Amino acid sequence: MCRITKLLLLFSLVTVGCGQKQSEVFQSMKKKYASSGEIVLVEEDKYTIKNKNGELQIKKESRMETVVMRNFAINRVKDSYRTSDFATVTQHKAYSINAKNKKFKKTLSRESNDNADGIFYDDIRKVEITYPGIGVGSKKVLEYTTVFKDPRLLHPFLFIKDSPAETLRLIVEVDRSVDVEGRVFNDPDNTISYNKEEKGKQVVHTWEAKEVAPFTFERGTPALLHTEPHVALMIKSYDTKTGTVQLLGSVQDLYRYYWGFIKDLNSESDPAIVELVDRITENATTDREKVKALYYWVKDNIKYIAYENGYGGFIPRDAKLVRERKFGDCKDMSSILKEMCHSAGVSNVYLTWIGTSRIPYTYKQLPTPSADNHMIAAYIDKGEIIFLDATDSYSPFGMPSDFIQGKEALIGINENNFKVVTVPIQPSSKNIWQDSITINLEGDKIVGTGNFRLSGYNKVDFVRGLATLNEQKRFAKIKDFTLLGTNKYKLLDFNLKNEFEKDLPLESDYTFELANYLVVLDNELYINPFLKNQSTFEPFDADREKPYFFQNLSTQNHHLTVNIPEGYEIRGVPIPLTLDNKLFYFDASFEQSANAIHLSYQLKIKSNYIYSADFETWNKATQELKQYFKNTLTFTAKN
Amino acid sequence: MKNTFALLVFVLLAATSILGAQDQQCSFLDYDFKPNAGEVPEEYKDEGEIVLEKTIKIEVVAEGEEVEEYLLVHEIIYVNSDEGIENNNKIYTSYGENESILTLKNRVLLKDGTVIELNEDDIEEEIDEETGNKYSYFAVRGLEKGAVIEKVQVLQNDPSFADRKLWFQGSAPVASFDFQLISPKHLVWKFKSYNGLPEVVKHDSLMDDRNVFTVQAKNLPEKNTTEKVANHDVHVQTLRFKLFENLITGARNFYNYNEFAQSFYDRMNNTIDKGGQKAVNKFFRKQKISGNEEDLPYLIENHIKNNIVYNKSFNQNKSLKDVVKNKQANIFDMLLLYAVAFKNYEVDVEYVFTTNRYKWPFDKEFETTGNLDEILFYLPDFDQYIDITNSTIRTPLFQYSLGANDGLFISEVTYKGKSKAVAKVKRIELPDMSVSRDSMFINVDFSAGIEEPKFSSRIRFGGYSGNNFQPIQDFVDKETYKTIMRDIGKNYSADVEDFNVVPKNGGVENLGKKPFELHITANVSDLLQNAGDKYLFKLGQLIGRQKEIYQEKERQLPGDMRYPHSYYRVLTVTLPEGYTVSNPEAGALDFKTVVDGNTIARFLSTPEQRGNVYQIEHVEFYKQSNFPLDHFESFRKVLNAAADFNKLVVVLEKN
Repeated sequence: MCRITKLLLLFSLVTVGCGQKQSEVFQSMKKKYASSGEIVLVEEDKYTIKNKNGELQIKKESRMETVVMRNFAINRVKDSYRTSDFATVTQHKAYSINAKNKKFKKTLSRESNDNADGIFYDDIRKVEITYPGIGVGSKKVLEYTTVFKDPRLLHPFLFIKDSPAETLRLIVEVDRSVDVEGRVFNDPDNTISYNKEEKGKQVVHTWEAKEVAPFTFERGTPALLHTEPHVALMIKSYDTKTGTVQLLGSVQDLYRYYWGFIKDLNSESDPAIVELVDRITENATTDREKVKALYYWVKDNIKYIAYENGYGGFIPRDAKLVRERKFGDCKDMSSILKEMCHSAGVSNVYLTWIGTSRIPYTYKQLPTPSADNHMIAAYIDKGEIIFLDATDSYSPFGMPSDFIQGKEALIGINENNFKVVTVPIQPSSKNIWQDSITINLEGDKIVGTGNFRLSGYNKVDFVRGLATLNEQKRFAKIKDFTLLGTNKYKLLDFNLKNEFEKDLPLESDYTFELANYLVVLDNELYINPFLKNQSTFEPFDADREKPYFFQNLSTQNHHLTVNIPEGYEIRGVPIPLTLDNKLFYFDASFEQSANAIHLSYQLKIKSNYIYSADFETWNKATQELKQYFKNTLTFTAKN
Repeated sequence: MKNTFALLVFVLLAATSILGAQDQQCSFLDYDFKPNAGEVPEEYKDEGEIVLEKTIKIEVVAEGEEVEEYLLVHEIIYVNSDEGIENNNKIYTSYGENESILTLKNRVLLKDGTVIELNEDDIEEEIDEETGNKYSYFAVRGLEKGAVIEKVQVLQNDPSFADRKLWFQGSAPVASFDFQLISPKHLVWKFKSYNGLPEVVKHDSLMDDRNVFTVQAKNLPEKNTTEKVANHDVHVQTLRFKLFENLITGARNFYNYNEFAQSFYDRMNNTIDKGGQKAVNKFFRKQKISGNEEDLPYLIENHIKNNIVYNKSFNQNKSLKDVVKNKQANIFDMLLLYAVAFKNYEVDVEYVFTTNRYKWPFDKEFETTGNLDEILFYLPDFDQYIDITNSTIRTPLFQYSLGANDGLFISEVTYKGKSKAVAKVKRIELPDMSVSRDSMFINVDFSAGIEEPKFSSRIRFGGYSGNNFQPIQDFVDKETYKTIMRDIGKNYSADVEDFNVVPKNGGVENLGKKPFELHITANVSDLLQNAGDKYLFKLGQLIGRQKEIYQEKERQLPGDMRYPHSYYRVLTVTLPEGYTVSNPEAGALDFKTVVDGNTIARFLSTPEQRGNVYQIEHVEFYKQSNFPLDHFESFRKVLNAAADFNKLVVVLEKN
């Protein structure tokens, strides 16, 4: 993942002073926010965008005022901001004022690198401020100025904080000769007010939210930007003496910017690549086979290590360097893959920009570099587009990486042509988890054999999880995956197959024992045959608000055979059940043969998102499912 | 904290004064790659990752009036899996403010004979402004399966002879590990090998003017990190050494406790001035602390922790007056603040120095200031400890990682009007199991009908277990707190209907004062399954998920339960008129671990059926935190008994 991911995280902290004494501020806030540890009095980002003789000068003044409301929050003595080559903080001021209006000016600040998100090296630095003198009623004030070098890389402003916020505000003061637009996302109730004011040669845009409740955590939500209100800024154009300079505003504009990063890529050929490509593709007879072989080679041989320094976060590196290093980031892997394919005579493989599922926008909704955070390659074969993401070592040819499903891809054809296409969401029929189990009831214990098969993303996720585990941890993971009944489950043996065969389903036979599950009375045995924990299919809490997100659509097919123990007979089997709604499908039935009971059931997730409007449907159906899962088989001793 | 407290009182190296010694030069400054490093012995070819050879040399040399220390790390690693590549393709070297890297070489040897050497331009550098530590790091070019990676690093180190530890086992197996300490002959060292590592061998004729001490270890497996309920880090093969004597100066017994204690004591007394005492008096006067005499330790601790933040890197305080003003304190500020506070309130104290037992237990057989990384106050009149750096803990609790361990207790004695420090190594006992006691009163009432069981539970979390929960309230918003409490509550009731949980006594303000409680009510018909004319009820689930050690091969490590603790549970099931439990004895369990006649762990579950009431009483306890390997089987049974009970299903039947 590229630097944009990180830039998005740099929501600036900031604000506005008021003439009130801190003692008074604290008293008034205390009435309003009795239980909060801390409140944000104001956070403000104020952009000033000037057009100086055809050159843009962009700075952002940030200000954040936080008040410590309760005793336990005195430990929060630190704040931080980030600075980088593109958005350089030129100055900061930090101080605190206690509840008796005494000011503490001398703060500590410490800079460190901030290689988050799996990035090995970049230029983003974190500056951490420590405030002395913090007690209940203290106000922490942080102000800093950021200068932007690239007008296309402004920061979004998020209208949510971890603590309650009195005022959150974004101001853009801009020369009339500069066309700026702010787009508001995730604010269906219009909690963010907008005001535009013309002041002489300037226009002032203000977005503001008041009395904002803090961010609340809910399980399984999509990424933050999908749900939380924010404003994304773009400078669309500005006037110069010689005409208007178009920066952003349409996908064309964005693509022009991006083309500049790749136009000189791989301009020199690398004989070693030619030789390597020949070797890799020697058994391939069609273009498709060649692309597949090269794609798998890159997945298997180029490891993900990301250098995202400055424009290194945007410009892919030459294939030659990537080949020598045997590592690279998403752009580097795409670069070498494209170059290898071209070298193999397959020219319809293209560099492609895309947002992962963390990013909510289409290119039309936000045609700026914030709309994507990732690069892949796309192979267009007679109208069919195959998405090639070499950063995902385990996905098979023909399936995109799971985290780009449903996202728009910007395929760079040549200098003037590009395509925006949507990566298809892979149907649940491609992602199957199938399990067949036969059990015997021996005394008060269950012993059994099973076989599972995982295809599509079910396999990819599982194999990815295994990749870095030692023997014991692999065993533990397979045990957890095959677990039946309770944690008393004991895995005895397994034989994993096709772990590294990308095109084949992962498969394993296994044997197990399970004690303390069967209920044994004098002449009766009870067993609940729904041995798999289906915790995903639980009703939501009544106060859930945010959508639930499944990265993948998937299908589970379970088959269980319970051999009827010697000397016993079954006392009836449960009736079948089918549940079908827009969110999931469930179907179960029992059959009885001479010596065994057979249970088959299928569970299929049909929608990636469950929105609040569908919570009732979900809750009702999962409630029914839970009831059904309580069915018990009773075996009675024959007289 | 690298010998923080040792640095406080010692001007280290009178110890190594090399008066009279000749200038020497480090013997491995020209150390280079090994020829044929790429040859992988047949027996290791199927390994995913193995360290074929590892050499560490530490050389102490006399240069002029100074003593210098050099470190060589040479590794040859065979990498033959994706995991192996991921573990080795990013290399970080860290070194201190006054240290420098003399050699940083790296190469990759591919199967086909290609050799790829590190390009110096690839090396990035970073300084941690907080510690002053520096880092050099780079990504390794060209690494692929079947390759060998060879690293050579030579560093000039800050000499540090108080306590050196060398861990011979890591995340990958090691075929061969050679260690050497090369030292001038006038320096005498003490060594100790742990966990089966071979003893040090001294060679006095390998080098004319120097002694060479070596340890060689072969075929070391990777570190055991998978066993549950264990303290993994302290069971790896380790070499420990320290400087003991300088034959030239005649000085000996360096880093001993008595000198440390006296220096520390003097330093404390010299630092406390009248201004500081006044400031502390004022600090306590402003918000008077009041309460019973026996609560004094808690009151002092609570007042400080409610007002002064511990910030280990805060360096703006020149006096206690500043501490009170800035409301932040580093470890030394905190020490002084507590010392003065206790003195003002006439509470006798002992300073206790120890280690984190999960990193390295205090070894009383190996006397060195290296055992003195962590500090506690001990108040002998109250038999209580005060943990001065942890804001979310209150006496009688302190970080359990510091207890069940030995420590150096420094106290003051006065003889003929003169005061001095006395140092003694004693056991730091953790609060006994009655302090960390959870009690649960669980009621299931079927009076309204067999299919409508009403459940209520009152759980009281004592000691450490309550302490884990109490601070949560103060660190998250109200809605999130509700979610977390619901999740915790559901652990004690399964996912059920009409669920309601009311937490009591949450918040830092209740730490050490009131136990944390959860009051849960729910309809638990989800735990009921219909089986013909009978009902199966998953009663066991109501005690919550339990720790278990079900699936394990032969146990290698002793057990570690963190702290002594106990449980008392009463489960009461009121059945509808005419119903009984058909399998009442299913709830009966009794397991114990007895060491030398002393029962150190037990799980006893006693069911009883009276009329339409079925009741089970549980007593479960772990009297100590450590469980020896030779009693592990019985300990495992105790622990698993609770987890087994969690699966208990009772059969309800109409008479």
